[in-house]
Amino acid sequence: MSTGESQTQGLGAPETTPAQAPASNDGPRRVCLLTGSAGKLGSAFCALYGDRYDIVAVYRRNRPWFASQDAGFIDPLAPGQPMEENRNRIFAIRADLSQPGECERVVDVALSRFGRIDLLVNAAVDGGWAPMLGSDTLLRSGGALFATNVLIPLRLSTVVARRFWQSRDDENRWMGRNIVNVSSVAGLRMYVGSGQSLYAASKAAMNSLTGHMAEEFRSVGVRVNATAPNSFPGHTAVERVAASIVTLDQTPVNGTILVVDGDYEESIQMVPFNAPRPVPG
Amino acid sequence: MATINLGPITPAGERPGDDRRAAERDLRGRRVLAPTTVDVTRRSRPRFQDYPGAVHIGGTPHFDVFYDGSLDDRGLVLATTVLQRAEADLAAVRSFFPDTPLPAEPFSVVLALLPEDERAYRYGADGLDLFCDVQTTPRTDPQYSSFLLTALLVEVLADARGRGWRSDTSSGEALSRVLAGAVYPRQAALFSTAAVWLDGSRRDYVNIDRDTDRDSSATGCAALFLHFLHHQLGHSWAAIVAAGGATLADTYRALHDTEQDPFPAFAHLLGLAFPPLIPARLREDNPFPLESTGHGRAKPNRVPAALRPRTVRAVPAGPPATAVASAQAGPPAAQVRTDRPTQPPAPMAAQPAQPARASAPADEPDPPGPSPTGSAPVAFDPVDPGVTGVQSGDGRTGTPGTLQTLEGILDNRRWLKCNSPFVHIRAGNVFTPEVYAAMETQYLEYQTKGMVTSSIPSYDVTATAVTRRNAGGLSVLTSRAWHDALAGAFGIEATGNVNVTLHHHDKGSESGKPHNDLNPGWFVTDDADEQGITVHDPQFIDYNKGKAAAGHDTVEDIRAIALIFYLCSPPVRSGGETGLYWSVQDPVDKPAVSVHPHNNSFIAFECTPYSFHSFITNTQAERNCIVMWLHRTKQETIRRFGEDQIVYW
Repeated sequence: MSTGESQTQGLGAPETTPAQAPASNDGPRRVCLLTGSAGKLGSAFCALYGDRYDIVAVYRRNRPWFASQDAGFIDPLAPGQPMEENRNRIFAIRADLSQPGECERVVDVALSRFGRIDLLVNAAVDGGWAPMLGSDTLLRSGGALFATNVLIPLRLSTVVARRFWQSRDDENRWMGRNIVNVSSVAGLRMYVGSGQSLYAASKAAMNSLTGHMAEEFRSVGVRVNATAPNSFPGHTAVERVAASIVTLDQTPVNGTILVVDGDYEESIQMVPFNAPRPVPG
Repeated sequence: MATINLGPITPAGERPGDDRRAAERDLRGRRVLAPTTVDVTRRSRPRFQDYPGAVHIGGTPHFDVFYDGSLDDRGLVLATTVLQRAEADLAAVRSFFPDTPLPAEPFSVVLALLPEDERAYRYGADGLDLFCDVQTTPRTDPQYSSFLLTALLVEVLADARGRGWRSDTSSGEALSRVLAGAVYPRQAALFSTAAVWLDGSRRDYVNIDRDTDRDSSATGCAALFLHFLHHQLGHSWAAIVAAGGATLADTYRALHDTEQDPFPAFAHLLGLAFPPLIPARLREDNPFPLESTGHGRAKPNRVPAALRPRTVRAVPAGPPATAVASAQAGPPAAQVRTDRPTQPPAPMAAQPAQPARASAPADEPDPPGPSPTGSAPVAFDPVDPGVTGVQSGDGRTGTPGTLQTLEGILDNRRWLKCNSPFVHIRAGNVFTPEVYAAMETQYLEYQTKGMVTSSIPSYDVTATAVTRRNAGGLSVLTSRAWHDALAGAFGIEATGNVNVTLHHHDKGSESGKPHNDLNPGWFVTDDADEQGITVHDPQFIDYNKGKAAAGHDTVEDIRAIALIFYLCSPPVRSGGETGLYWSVQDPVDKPAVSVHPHNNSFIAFECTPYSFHSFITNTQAERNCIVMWLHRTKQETIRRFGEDQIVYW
């Protein structure tokens, strides 16, 4: 059992090494629950790693552009021929996670289909930018923004934990189960004049949340980290951001914010080594 | 990186050594950047001569930046950002003027709300006080001010260079706008003047340099010519600047070592793309590169950048490229040019990286389909009616002017066939950029001619019929190959009778209601092309009721496949989708599947009693699409669904 006192990787790195965790192409496919699957990052992740993960792709409005349980590609000039693109099908679930019961439904469906969840990627984002003084947009939409960027990731994570991970701490460590929150460098740096005050604040909250989740989810053997990319695909290649998710999945770190800024990467440990534990009772 | 000195905030007047530049102000010496829409000749003198309340925010080796104190915190934010970018902006401008020395003293940049007819100015040819407007609503935009500062820096260096490009002339004014636009591309459209010249008498301002920076038509002509030199003929901005002469024509001659007058060829090429007396609808100053289609027309470059072919052939500097030669030679060669002389220049200034901005919601997918790949030259000529002979098959080759296979014009052979809420197919990047551009051009032609005016009862749309006789760039949709590909994708035996209609939804059009399209359609039996395709033509028969012109036999079919192909629509975050529904009673704004109207994409579905779909209101921008139906026999429809399921008009 890990005591979570690793001196080199921050909090609670499971004893399972990346080599042991079946996350490579050679091992069994890991089950990934992915929100925001129709966005740029979600799409890139599905395209690049659909052969490595069984992806439960959650989308709110627009269907991900991949073969799924009820959709497949055809060649209009040879409609009867098999296509390589249909080999790795995602399992698409349409859901508005802000609605009561939807997180629970999504997790139940995912578990019914695959029997387990190895990786949860909270990639759904609300990116509303607006000035504070020039309009009421921030005040109107701030609640929804914070819900999408902070509360729903927390809610979905706890639902997965309570419905599946909670009683499997050893198995979770062995399987290298973990959560990757998609944050942003906006939560770490201030960009002036761009009207992203609340968005940046929500990402800062997510970074902080990630640290606390890492500390608390350690008890069930689940790691929690975040990737904090610069804008993609404009400044940072979306493929690099998708790869950072896999890196965090495969690397036994916990409570780490992985900054992906163009070709530059930096990891920030949100929870200090040997962080004081709450005193029981 | 330049050092930025964020010194103490002091009133402008207290800044050491500022006495001389704070001296006399003379409006007659201003160098201005005026927006297109303002008739500056009727304007009174600007309200402001100076900004005594300007606040010093900081400096760099070449700049001191101030903002009008009335701007409060917004000014502070704007000035800080402009200050951070100023040295990079200057470096970008200096790359255009590599041999021109800078003034010995630093520039003083003043950010303030300027009069609407003078968005940026300075005093005199050697003025170093640079006054730039600010944008504070709907949000503060520092790049707007940085763009204006960059334009003024161009003028300063152009005046310092002393050979051509005087800032109080039309060519100098155009140069400042064009080069600032090269550094800040998104801002350039705010000061576009090309359409003023294109929509006017198109006087020759290439051989005549007007002694004013306030003639939008002259500035527009000059801006177009500068883009022509760079984007059409492939000359670098630095080379163009270095070749500056008394007129733009002299600049051209210096670049090409020729005595040729470039204006006739330049005007002719633009005339092909933007016929005189027809509103140009050009929202920026750069329509180049233009392509000769081989039929006395040039195609405007309206293809979104992301869809343009990546095969780029750089035209070597030196002799003029083919565009001038071919244009001067009379009718252009019968070949579609697919090479691009050069790509638009990348922004020169180092822009501060922006964090993950959700310009679209997280669930908003990129336009579906594969990334555009380098396309081989497409022989398909959408202007040629012969395209209706587009063939099915695998042949990729084709010679210019001849028929092309369907494979040769499809950019995406990965169509996604979905089962819920009913069987439908979606595809993005459907046609090659050349073919899609021709479709857009054809749509714009319909609009220009005022053809998209028919109304449809109980539906908030205007429409026009696309027929075999007017299809033009849309004729691929009326081809046998396209018909068979669609029918094959759904496994349906279609009759060859098609109805093609262009729908235009003004911004804010009302949503429709879920319906299934299992309707009849009437055709004449004697209007098929040589490949057996009959395109409904309202001059021969009423599609809904079957009333035909005398002498025609008719047939009643039932719609089998509906296709909605999106084109010519501004990109939007949401709105204008096609909703798919489980039930006719579902609320229109709560579809089971929502299809975003990406240009050059489509959704198609089999028309059944359960194919409920609807247009969803477009709150952000107009939406345009081609709606097309394939048909099957009434007998087959009755066999499958029963006659009571047919929805008669």
